[in-house]
Amino acid sequence: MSILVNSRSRIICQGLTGYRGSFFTHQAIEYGTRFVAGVVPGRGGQTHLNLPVFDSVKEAQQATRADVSVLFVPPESAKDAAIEAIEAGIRLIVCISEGIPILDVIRIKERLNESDSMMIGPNCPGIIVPGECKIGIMPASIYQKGRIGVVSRSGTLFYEAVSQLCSEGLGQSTCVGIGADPVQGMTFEHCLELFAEDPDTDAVLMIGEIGGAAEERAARYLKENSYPKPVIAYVAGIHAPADRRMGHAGAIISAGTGGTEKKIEALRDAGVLLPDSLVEIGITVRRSLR
Amino acid sequence: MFIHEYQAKNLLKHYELPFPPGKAASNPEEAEHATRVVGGVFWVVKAQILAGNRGRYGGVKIARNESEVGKFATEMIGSQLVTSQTDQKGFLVEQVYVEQGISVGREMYLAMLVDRSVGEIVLLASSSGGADIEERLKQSADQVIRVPLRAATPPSEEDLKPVSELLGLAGKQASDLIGFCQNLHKAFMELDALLIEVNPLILTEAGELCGLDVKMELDDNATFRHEEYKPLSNYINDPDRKFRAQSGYNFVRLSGDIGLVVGGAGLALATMDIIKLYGGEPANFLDLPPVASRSNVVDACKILFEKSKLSCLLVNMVGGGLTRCDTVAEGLITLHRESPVPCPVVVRFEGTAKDHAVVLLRNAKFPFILAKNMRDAVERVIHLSKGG
Repeated sequence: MSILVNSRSRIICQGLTGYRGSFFTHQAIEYGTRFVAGVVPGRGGQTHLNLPVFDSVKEAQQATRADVSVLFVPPESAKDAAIEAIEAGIRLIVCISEGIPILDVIRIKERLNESDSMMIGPNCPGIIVPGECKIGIMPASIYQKGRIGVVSRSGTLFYEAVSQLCSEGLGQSTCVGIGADPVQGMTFEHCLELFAEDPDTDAVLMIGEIGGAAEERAARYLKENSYPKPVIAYVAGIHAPADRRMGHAGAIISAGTGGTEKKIEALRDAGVLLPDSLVEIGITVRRSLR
Repeated sequence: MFIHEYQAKNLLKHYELPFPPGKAASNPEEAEHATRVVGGVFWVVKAQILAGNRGRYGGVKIARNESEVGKFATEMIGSQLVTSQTDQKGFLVEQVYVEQGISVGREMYLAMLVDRSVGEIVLLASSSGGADIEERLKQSADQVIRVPLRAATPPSEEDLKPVSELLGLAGKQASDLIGFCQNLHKAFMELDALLIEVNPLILTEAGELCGLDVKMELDDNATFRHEEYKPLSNYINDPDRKFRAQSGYNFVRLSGDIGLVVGGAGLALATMDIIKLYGGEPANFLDLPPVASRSNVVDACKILFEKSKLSCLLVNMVGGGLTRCDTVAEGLITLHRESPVPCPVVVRFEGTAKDHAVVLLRNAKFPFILAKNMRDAVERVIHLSKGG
């Protein structure tokens, strides 16, 4: 078992013929991921990586019954591509594209809220179920199958944390990189909720970082729901210098959230285990399982 | 990117938002001339820096006549203005904004921004405005209202009714406020703003709604659809922000001696944290762009060597995405061929092509210390930094 996707997921790639779409879909297929089609406007009818290419998500979905789409499109067209996937009834959108204007992400979110679709990202490494499927840009070789759920805002830190888990002999059930843009689709809480229900996940590792209030909200969720599994969190940026601000609105709206210390305090208060440093992530997770 | 008040007002003038007439000036003669262009009976001379609280620190002066405008412009232009929102050196004033003076009846606060904690656009308003707004709100002397807005549709009269009520506006003033908020929403969406703060928003003595100061942030990601953004970054007078805006490198100024070139912001933050935890002091750090090329690595190292005196350099790389460890290794080799690296280099590679990267460095006889893992890497740089 896993969360969100598995070896039976039917996946399409929007932007399949581009350099990145092509490179990472090829990698994913080699890993065993079940890609069923690509979508590239104007290239319908062609074949790429042995996959049929369609002009629109709707056509691809109807022909292949795809339920997941991964986006490797340029930031200029990401909003339209994501909305097209929502309208075609795609259940899970994995938006790897980075540099999307924030207001475009908000426009996508407004459409997501009115639909049954979910989105991981944007600007994220994607999702991997070790041994089953890889949808994203993570280096597959570092992941091992196991029983730890991982959810991370940061990309590179996500890989770092996973390689530490593996060096402790701890494999992963599902790893989700939710991305660190100011506005995101799926949140820590979404993933925590799914991991709570997953019988093959024993503990959850959360990787957060300075800024925003995602960690504070996750802490509130954990506390309010008496979360049933051990949660271990690392929050990067305790020594980061504060960015210079301008005007007052940022301070008024954040009302004390965003700083690493506040995040750590909130998580600790919610019963989360917090290693002192990044290099102790693996060992802290191991201890939590006793 | 934050932009200057005069740049913001320039962008906003197409949206029927009431601001007093004004003009930017780069020297005292231009400033004096501006008084005749903007008209009025008195003028406000405002130093253009990318920081707030200018009024309290001598960056906003009221002039009764043309020669006073010239005098204030002479004092401000070329000076370093320090406020509670700048660093200790302050920011260089390159322009002043000369604005028609308006007699204030009452000050209020209005801002539209992306609330990053929930990922939506919100309108904030308070019945008191000015530089001490945060203090007043902290002491609960005044209330602030928060109205979530949609990107797809402008706020309706119904949405905005609680705002005019809180601000104590009725009749024409209330409908002017609704119009102001709707136009501001249009500007916000069309200009790809992240923040437009109108503080204070005032009622003039005659009871007309008018914005006095504006703070505005634009979304760098939206540059591709805004030709008008391009010239704005030439006037950034915060040197670190200017560097970031123009080079695309995420540069963070710190005071230590251990240089960091790290793939990705999260790993960079964590590396910095662990160096501090183990007793070291990170120097300015750069995180590589998400798709780093060989020349990015060369540039990043050069910038670090240029901007700080390093005891050692740590290259910490988890290959993934489109950045491979061997690309980073090639960058280091190119750099070293151009001019030998001035300090010991500790290298830690993990992920895509890590073994190949090490082979490349060895074959090129690049002088480096290979760390086994993150802990080993940090222990080694701290040892080097302490003279080991």
